[in-house]
Amino acid sequence: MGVDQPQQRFTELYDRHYRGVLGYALLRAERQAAEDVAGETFLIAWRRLREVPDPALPWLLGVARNLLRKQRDSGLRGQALATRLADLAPPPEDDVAERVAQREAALAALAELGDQDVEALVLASWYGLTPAEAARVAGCSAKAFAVRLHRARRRLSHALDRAALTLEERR
Amino acid sequence: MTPDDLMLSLRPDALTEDSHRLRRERDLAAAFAARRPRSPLPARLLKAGLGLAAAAAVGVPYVVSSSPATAPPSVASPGGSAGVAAVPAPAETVDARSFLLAGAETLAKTPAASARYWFSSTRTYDPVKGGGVLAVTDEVWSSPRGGRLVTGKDAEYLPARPGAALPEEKSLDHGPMLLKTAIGGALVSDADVAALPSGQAALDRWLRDAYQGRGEDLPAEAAAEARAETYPAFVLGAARFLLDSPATPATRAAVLRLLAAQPGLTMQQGVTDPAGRSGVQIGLAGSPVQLTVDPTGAKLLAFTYTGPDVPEKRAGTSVRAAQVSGRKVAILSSGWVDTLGARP
Repeated sequence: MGVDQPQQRFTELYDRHYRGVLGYALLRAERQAAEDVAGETFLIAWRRLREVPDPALPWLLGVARNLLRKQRDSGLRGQALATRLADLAPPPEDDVAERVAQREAALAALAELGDQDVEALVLASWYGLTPAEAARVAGCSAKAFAVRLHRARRRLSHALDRAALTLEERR
Repeated sequence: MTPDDLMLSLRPDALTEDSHRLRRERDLAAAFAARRPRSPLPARLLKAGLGLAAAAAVGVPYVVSSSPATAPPSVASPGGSAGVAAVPAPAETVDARSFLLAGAETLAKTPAASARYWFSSTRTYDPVKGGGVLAVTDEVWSSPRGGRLVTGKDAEYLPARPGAALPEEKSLDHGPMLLKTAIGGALVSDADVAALPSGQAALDRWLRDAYQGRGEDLPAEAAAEARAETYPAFVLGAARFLLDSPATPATRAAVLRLLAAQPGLTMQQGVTDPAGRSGVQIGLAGSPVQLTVDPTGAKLLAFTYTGPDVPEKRAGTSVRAAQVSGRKVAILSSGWVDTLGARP
C-alpha cells in the first residue's frame, strides 16, 4: 500500500506548526483550553487540507484566532496580553541581576502597550510573519499592521534603552 | 537586548514542546478518524469588478518605486505587443499547447545567468491620429544599487511625417532605487522575480495568490483589477511580463508550461513582429494581450495590447503605466550585463 499523501501532509503540518499555534492560543486561554483550540484548529485543517495554502502558518493562526474569539471561557477573564506573556514567560536562563532588572523593565514597558501592539510584536518576532501575512491574522490592513508594529517596537526599544541606562548609572 | 530578542525570550517554548509531545498522538488520531479532506470549493470568482476588466487585462499594470525622488518614466510601461501581419484561421488549442511546451523544454535546458545589471531594450509602436505609428526605443539598466533609464531613443513616425515633432531622447542615471512591479496583488522587485518558483505547480500557487490579491500592501486597485479578469487571462498578462524579466530560464519554462495549461489559447503561425522578425502569435479568448514568440517557442519577441486606452495614473511613488489601444512593443534585446551602457 502506498503512502497516504493527505495523512503524510497533515502530519508534517501538525509537527511543524502545532507549537506555534498553541503558543498563539496560550496568549488568550489557559493551557487546557488553548490545547483544545490548537487541536480544533488542526481538525479544521484536516477537513480542509486541500485549501490550506503555502505557507500554512498564517492560515492556521487565523483559524485559531476565530476559535479563540468564539470561546466563552478562556479561564483568563480578559487579562491583558502583556500580563499573560509575563505569566507564560519561562524563568530567565541565568539570574544575573542586570538581566533580571532589564527584563523586569521590559515587561513593565510591554504592560504599557495595548493588546494590539503586543500581538503585533508577537506575530512578527515569534513567527517571522511578513506584514501582509500578520495583517491577515490580526484582521487589519498590512499598512495598519506595519504602523502598529513600528510603534510597538519603538516604544519597547526606548524602554529597553532606558533600562540599560539606569543599570549603568547604578554601577 | 532588542525588542525582538525580548519577545523571543518570552515565547513559551518549553510548554509548547511538552504539549506537542503529549497531544500529538491523540490529535492525529482524532483527525484521521474524522471525515476525509473535502475537495476545495469552486473558485470564488469576484464578479463585482468586471467593469474593470479592460483596464486589468494586461495584468501587470503598476510600477512602484521605493524612492520618491524619481518616478520611473514610461519605459517600464506594460501593454503593447506584436504586430501581426498574416491572419490565418486560429489553430487548434492543442497546437498552442504543444508549441509552448516545446519552448519550455528549450528554456529549461538554458543555463541560468546573473550579473550586475538587468538590461532591457524595447521599441514601442503607438498608433497616431490620421494613421501610422510613432516608434520609440527605451532602454533600462537596473540593479538595486542604481541604474540608467533611456527614453525616447530613435523616435520616428512610420510612415515618416516631415516636420512633425518627435519625442526627445533622455537619459537618466540614478542611484539606489528599488523598482517594483505589481503582478496582481504581489509587488515584485527584480530580485523577487529572479527568485520565483521554477516548478509549474508552485508558480501556479504563487500566481493564484497574487491573482487573489494576497500579496504585499500595494494599491488595492491593482489587486482588484487583477481579479476582474479571468485567471487564464491573468496568467497571459503575467507571462507577458515574466518572459522578458530577470526570471531564471527555469521559471520562464514554468511560465510557458503554466500558460500551456490554460484553456482558450489561440495560435497563429507565420506572423511578423513590428521589428520584422518571424514568429508565432499566442492569444487567449477574452484577453486583449497577444504574445509573439520566436519559432522555437522559447523567446518572447513582442506583445500587443488591443484593449481600450487607459491613462497613466500616479499616486505617491506608485505609477500606473498608461495603456494605449493598438500598442505594439518589440523586445529588441534583454539580458544580464556587468557594466552600465553595455548590451548583451
